[in-house]
Amino acid sequence: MEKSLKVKELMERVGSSETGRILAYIKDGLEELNMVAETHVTTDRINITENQRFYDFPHDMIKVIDVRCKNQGNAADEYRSIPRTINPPSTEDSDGI
Amino acid sequence: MASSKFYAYYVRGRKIALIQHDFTLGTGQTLSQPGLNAVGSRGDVLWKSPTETIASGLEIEYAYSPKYSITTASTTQINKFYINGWTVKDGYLTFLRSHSAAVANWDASPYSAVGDDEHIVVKGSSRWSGLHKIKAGGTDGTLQTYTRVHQSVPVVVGSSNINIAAEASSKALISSNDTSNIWLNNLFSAGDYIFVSGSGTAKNNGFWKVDSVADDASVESSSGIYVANRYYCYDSDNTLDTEGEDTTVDTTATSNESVTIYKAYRDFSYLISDIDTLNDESDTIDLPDYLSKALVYYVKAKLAEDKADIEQKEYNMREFNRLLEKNESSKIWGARKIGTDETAIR
Repeated sequence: MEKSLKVKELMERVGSSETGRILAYIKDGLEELNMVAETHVTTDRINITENQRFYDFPHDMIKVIDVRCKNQGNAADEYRSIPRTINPPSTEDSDGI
Repeated sequence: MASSKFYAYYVRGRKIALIQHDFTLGTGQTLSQPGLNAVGSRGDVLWKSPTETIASGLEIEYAYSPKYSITTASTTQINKFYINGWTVKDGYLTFLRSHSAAVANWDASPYSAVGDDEHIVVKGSSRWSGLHKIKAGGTDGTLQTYTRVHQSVPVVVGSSNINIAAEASSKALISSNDTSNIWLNNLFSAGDYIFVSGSGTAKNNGFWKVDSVADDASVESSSGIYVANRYYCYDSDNTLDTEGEDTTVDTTATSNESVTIYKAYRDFSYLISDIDTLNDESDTIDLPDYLSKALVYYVKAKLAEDKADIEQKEYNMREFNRLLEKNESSKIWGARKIGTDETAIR
């Protein structure tokens, strides 16, 4: 038996027949849910570039769960969590960043 | 063998700022996590932007909204295609795919599996991972999406006035005809990436790195740019998931061409087609049963809010939050206790 909720069933439960509007609210609701419940989690690996400090968060990210780097505190190519600093370094590095 | 490194990060707007502790120790030593005070005023000179390039070196684990689902297996060159990078075409995000001696034709098999007005999911991109909708796939290696990019990116649209020279001294000159008012050395800088399309000679098209630019001159034909490295995706070898880099430039001299030169951003990643998005009544909402009930309350709350029925809205939002909290609690088994510390006052 298929148990997952269909859009049509949700529309019946809330008493609406406006598909576009309900779909928009469902998408809003899914984002709110994932702020708390983290129903869908994924990882994305991006390249570290020499002398590039800033990297974009993934386009579809709602909430960061962990940030890891390759070879963080190890030489076995393992990905380990990296600490978040409270403040950025107060002086520029040699690249002027 | 890779060496041990120490990174940290801070957040700046929608970006993650990655810094690396710049010191080296002998091989085999085990190091501990740097203390946070090392990031303050005393140790900040040691913290720098990453000191070396690491492929797939940064891993971000994050929650995303299940507005889409990937229901079929992803197979390279069937419904999964690698891309070299992106540019902006008419204000829209456009992905680029180059081959070793041509560019991909998104209108021909197997690339035509990515159809116009279909959704794709991008993975492994440093900026564009996530859901996008295709506007048009071209025969010139460009795959335009409906995603707007609020960024100005240089583009040169030639009109029978662009010349590409044959390679010489490991680089090839691209220049424009005099009186064309196209000053390529002003538009691009050494180190930039460009994507060339529209040349009558297939191998002149592709994803290139600008090696150097000509000195300023009084005429356009002497104000060109030199390209050297070519970046491409494999389309037949068993190395489909790696990016090719050809440092031996190979071009054929062509003149008076109507080529388009985009400034490009190198970002080797891949896209997946065959995406099922949430867009009609028959779609299934990919949520656990219990949270589906919470979603119903959320939608009811929004509908009540539209009717200015604040009491109903507040009631439904309260139920929504209550179900979310119950769902979170349900994952932790047993009693929760807070014990007193052994040094606590008795």
